[in-house]
Amino acid sequence: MQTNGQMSRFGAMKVALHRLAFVVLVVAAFGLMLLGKADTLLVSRVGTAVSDALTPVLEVMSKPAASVGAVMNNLRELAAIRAENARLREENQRLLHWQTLARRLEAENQRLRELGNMVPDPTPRTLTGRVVADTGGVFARSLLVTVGSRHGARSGQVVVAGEGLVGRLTEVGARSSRVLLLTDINSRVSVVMEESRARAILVGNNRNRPDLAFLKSQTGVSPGDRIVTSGIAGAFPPGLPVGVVASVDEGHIRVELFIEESRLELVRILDYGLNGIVADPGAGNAPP
Amino acid sequence: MRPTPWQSLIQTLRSLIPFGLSVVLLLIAIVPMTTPGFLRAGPMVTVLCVYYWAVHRPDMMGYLGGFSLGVLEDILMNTPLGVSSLVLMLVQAVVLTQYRFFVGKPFLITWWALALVALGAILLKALIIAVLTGHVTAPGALLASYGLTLLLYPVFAWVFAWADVLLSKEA
Repeated sequence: MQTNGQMSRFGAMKVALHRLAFVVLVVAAFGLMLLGKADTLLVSRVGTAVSDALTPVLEVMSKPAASVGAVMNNLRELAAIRAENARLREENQRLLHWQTLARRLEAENQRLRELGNMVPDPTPRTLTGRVVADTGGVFARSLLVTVGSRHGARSGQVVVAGEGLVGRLTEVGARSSRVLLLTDINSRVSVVMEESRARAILVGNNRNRPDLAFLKSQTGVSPGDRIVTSGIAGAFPPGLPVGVVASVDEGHIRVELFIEESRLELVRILDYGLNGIVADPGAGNAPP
Repeated sequence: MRPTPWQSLIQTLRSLIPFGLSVVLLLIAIVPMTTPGFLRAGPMVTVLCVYYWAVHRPDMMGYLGGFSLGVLEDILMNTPLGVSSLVLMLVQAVVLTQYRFFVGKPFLITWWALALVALGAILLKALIIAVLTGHVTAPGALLASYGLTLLLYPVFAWVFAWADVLLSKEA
């Protein structure tokens, strides 16, 4: 009888402890939310430390995934090889025409620069990193890359892939960095329409196609128009290719980016020496 | 008979298997896969993990496990710290308060119950994030994530059931 009583007391105590743990941890979760609002630098540093520690693991895990992805890509490409070949031939013809034109323009440009004593654009220092985590999701869009402060990365640096702008570094650890993608809801990039030179802001929306906002007038904007960075605010250098207008609905202009976020394996980090709008609080880390 | 220190260590390590497996699945979910666009909808991997263990072996992943998994998810996903922890612990609490309902139920019933729990979880998470950041998530994106979460549950349940059998054999 006494043993039964002891056991029931033990059971009741266990249930009470379980409930207490729940209450304490719920309070702790709210505490973390408040801390995240109050001390973004501390939270950012903790996040960077954890990401840094996990990067070697993610790097190992991403290699077989990349191999599987490459095999799947090969299979997909094999299936469409004839059509792709025809498309590439046609594109080659078109590009040869553009090459001739570009050479002529380059020569003309060179002459005009010499005539005007123009100061040449700065050549950026380049770092290349592998993408080890793609946290593209519903609530945030970012990448983790294997380039950190020990390689010379700093927060605010520009990240590009072959086809165009990817985003910028927001948190930099010793061996890894977080790239805030253009599609992230916190991303704002000053852009310009390449043809009309109309300025606008590219606003991330956590979807594949970010919005074009603060454009003075939508008239004259049509699908296919190219968009490049404007260089205003100093966060990005001018002229980096961003994407093309995908759709123009009432009040909404969606942009198709040149890069395909889900297919990024290697990215280039460009250092133009711009401090931009991202302040570097001493330790190389910045809140997003 | 009191367990030897070695047996205690093995026991502790075994009790960490559900949490460890959940962390591995979370990491796999963020490894770049060059997958088709629809898979980037961002399934709620951690909700699947805590839901399975709360339904089948509540003793194997307590609130501390859910809290820690949430903190790790928020750090990796760049979402406000504490949000996922709160949501995951609430998922655990909801399942544990309805534990009698889940006992011995077939897989389809638990899948159906997940549909309700996951809906509450994603709406709550979107609401807290909207309050904290001022950004309202598009309903379409939430729906895509929710749908993908439900679709992935059988895969996760299969992996966890395999681990569950392994744990039961060695117990």
